[in-house]
Amino acid sequence: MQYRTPLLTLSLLIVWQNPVFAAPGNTCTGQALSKTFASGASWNLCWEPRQAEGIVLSQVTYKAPNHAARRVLGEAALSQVETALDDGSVAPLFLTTEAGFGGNNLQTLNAAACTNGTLHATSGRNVLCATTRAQGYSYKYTTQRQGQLWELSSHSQIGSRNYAVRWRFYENGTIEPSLGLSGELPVVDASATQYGWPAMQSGKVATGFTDHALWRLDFDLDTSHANDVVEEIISTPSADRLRKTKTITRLNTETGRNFDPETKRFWRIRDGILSNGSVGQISYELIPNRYDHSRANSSNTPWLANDVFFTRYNACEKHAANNPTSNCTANVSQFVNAESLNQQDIVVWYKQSYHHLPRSEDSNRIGTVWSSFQLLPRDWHSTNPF
Amino acid sequence: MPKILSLRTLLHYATLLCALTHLPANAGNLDPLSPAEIARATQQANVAAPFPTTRSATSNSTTPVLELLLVERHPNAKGQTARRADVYTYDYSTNETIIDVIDLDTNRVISRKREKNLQLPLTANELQRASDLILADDEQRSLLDAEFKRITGQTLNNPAQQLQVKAFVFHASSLPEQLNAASQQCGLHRCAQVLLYTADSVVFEVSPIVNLSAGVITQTIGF
Repeated sequence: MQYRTPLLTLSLLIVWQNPVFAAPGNTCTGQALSKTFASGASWNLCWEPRQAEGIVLSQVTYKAPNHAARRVLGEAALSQVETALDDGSVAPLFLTTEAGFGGNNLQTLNAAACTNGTLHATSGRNVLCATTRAQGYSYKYTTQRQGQLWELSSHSQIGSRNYAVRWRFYENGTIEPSLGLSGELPVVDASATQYGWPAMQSGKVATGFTDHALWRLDFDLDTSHANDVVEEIISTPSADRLRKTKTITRLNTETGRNFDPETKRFWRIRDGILSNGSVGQISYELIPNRYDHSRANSSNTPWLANDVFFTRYNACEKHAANNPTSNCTANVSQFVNAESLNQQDIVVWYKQSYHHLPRSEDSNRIGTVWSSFQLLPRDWHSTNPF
Repeated sequence: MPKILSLRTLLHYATLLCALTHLPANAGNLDPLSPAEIARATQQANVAAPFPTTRSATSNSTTPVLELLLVERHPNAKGQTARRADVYTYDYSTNETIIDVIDLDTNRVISRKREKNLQLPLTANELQRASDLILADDEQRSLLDAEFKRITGQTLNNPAQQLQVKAFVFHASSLPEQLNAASQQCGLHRCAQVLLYTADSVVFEVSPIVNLSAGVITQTIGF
């Protein structure tokens, strides 16, 4: 008898949690994965490996405790990485489409590569590691809260480089995609000192290089994918620099834009209709974690000329450059062709450039360097859900 | 003392039950292609373009005429759930990449395109061929022996065990001023830049370029 009340509570909890996950339906590709934190916050998504991109995520849905689950992304992947050597002796190489982050380059992971995590397999090989980690403070005031995050990571070995692709999904709704660089240094003859650093034990110069990574983020906020808008927000200092004036501009047609530290320019993808039940309309904003290398533009190519591009969804626009599907144009600067972005299906192409000037500690293994950015909920909820 | 389940335990069970009941192992009609579908798409592409398996009138009679490069799901427009496949095949007889779009519901080829200068990543077959060509070449072999000796102090007598081999597609445009005439065709021809490593992943400083279309090693560059 003493179990009746707890069992009733359990049944109620199950009913209450029933609508937690949006039905994956037929738009979710690959295998489903989910994480529910002790707080009740949860993430739900699908993943599949592809030859070029490596791991591709789809139907990424977030639910805060005691709130409805809402979709954030329809599809998301690292769409292209180009690497260029500082001495210009070799034309930049498209690692995604000319070598591939998937296929045989996608590494098989063992338990040691996934400490305290769970390995997930495709075609009989463990290629994805899912781990739950402590985040540290999610806030602290008169009360405090320690948050958690859920991490999905894979590794691709391309030539002498090893790239980690890591997605962090925080309990508070933040998404953090990261690219980790490691492997072994490339070498040139000592005559090219100005293009590198004498970092090899042999005394040879290791050439510097720049990696340009473009992430493709297909935003499909909540149930409808076709009614999202992009807003650019700046806070302009007054002449005496005592005040900052906020301005919001809707981007109505496809475009490429740049960060501007002076006005702290940033962008958010907002649902065209849905509010958070209070004054705000649900959206996610883009947060660069570092963009001090972002003006690097190897070969002055147009697809690297902007920090972020906004386009309307087109299924064959898969890779930010060297896009091989012949129904579409070749790169993201050409995907920007004056189509409307107003109440449309929005795709964000986010560029991260990282220039690596080797140091002796990189010989003979490059210490892992992470480049990341964040997608942060803005007015997704009417108050802090924690 | 009667046992009473704590709220924490209940939440744990509830979470577990939800996870078990709401996650299908496979997600639906836009899944990646199954091995059976890949086989079917490949077969349709082959039916549409029957070729002999080897060609004879070239310098290297083992060059295959057709190499299957990649089969993957054709990207659908949103809301469309038709099962379609893109089949990428390299035609060594014309140096073109053939792109077939196959409708898997009707088993028909919807479209076929041939493109020059489009080079997808190398297949395991092609990597093996490049590797075989390098190891069979006396000049290359002595270079590799010397490089292996320099790095490890040991003799290279069993390349299959002692070496790791990787390769990228190589384009002539990537080294515009350092190429000999034989390498200038790369891009229009299908070429591999081969990277060699010791078993513990130290990279060789020499990197051979192999023209797979012609079946020859065109030159060796520094890496």
